[in-house]
Amino acid sequence: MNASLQTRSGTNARILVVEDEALVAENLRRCLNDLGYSVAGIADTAAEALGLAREHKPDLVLSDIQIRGREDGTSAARTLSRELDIPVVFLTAHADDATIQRARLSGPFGYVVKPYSERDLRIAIEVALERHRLEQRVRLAERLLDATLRSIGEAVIATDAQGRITFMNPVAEALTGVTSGDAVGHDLSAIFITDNPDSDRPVQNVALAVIRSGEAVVASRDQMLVARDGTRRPIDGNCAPIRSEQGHVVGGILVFRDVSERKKHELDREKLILELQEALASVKTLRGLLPICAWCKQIRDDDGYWQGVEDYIQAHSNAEFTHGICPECFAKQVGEG
Amino acid sequence: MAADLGRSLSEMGYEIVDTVDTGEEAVKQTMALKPDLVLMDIRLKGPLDGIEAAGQIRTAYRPPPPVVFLTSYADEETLTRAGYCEPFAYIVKPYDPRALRAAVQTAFYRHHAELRIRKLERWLATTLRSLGNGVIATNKEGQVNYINPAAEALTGWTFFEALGQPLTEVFRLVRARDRQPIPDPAQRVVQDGKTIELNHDTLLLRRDGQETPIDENASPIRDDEGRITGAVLIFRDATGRREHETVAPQSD
Repeated sequence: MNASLQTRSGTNARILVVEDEALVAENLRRCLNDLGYSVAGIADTAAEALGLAREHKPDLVLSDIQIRGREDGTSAARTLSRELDIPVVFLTAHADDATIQRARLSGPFGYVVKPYSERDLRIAIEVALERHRLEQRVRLAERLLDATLRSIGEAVIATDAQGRITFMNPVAEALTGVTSGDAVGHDLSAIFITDNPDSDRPVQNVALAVIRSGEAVVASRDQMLVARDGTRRPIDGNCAPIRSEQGHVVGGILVFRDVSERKKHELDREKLILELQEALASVKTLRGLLPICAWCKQIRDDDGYWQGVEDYIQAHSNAEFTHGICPECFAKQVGEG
Repeated sequence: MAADLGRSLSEMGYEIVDTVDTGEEAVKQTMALKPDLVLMDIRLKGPLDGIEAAGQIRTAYRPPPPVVFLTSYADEETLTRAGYCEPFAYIVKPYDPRALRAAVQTAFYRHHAELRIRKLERWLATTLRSLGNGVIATNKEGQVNYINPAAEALTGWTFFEALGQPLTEVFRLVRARDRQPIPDPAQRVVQDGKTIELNHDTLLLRRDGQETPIDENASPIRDDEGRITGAVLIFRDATGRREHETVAPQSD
């Protein structure tokens, strides 16, 4: 009959026992072994329990609430569950309200009331292991989403339905110059301050606008974000309403990014284009009407001066002249001579 | 037995909203009265036993109230089945009032702890879902483990289709200028640990063959200890911006 439960848990769970009465501890070890568990160690103080837990990383800690030493079982249990994520089952002879209230704060996964039977022990351990597994699964999903939202390479700020900040990722902290701790709870317009060079509207809460309209907006071009230290950066981004599974708008989510680099590229590009256009303009004059003297073949430039054909063409194109003689002129010159 | 339990619980300060003796009644009354906790004997009159009733409560009711089972030596083989109903605690008959108190307290505590995490998880999921840009997250091996609706629309892959697929299948990028495939950005950020941006010349090939110019940013995902556990991509349709750029210089 033990077999069925062990198959369910699927593991031969390793258990750390925290009990300062040697006889009780020995009895527990025997019971646990009978039930198919392995005992990772026996500690008789809170400090030793933490040391053994860190070293052996047991699947579960079975701890007496009252143990000798400066700290009792509940304070060690708090560290075990918060820091090491190991479930704790308490052993107690006094399951009175006061004891349970005190123990509760350490988040135990179960109690075994003394005097206990093997069966009490097994059920408490199995339920604790199962619940811990379930909680870990939920927590894993939560952590994955949390790490994803935090790690996004663009600035992310979320607000509640009143437009107050509930979340800010590190990129948003860097761009606004405000830490998440300082920003949470504040109205978005106090942290996300933009000014548009083309208008002098007062700063408004973009999240509130999308929460009211229910429609996402894309930030207009040329928005400047003013950080807390006064630094101004061009940004672009968008803001969308957060909708619950039932479709209710429960907040706003703003995503933006620093586009200084891109702006610089765009400016460089525009400059380059202007330069090209100027260069092109000077070449273009060769294509238009050229005033040329019918007799001496000089050309009048845009400033009104008469220039030699060679000088003019060299100044207005990339052409270079090499000097030679054509067959007709050659015949004329040689024939006459 | 039921009267005795009721008395014990009342003495501890709990209010008994109802006492029923069949599984069907237990399910019905849980729906009607929305109790904070159900104390359920595994053996009940009628076709539904306590475990089956708890199972129905768990699927019909969101979030389900915590269930504490009462069990006797005769129920040994049913405990295996009860495991699948995610009970919060068991009380073994004949019960000790101290054990009852401890079990009920544990159930409340764990139930609240779990609800807190679930609430946080739901908030995070809702937020990522509502985000206006495409978001895809991968694990260290570059397999997709999250994709939001904006990314579903841009890639043409649904969440369930994309889950577990290599990123390069779901998120196919080519350089617009020569149509050369762009190497997997997730692999690169997982290896280098640095954010990369693709703002020019990047085309996303949707599953149906449609092409969208995009701006993209890929960053490593780090856990609480700073270890890289995957990559997250955020991207947007850059059609408007590219058009703007190509139109601007022509103003002669």
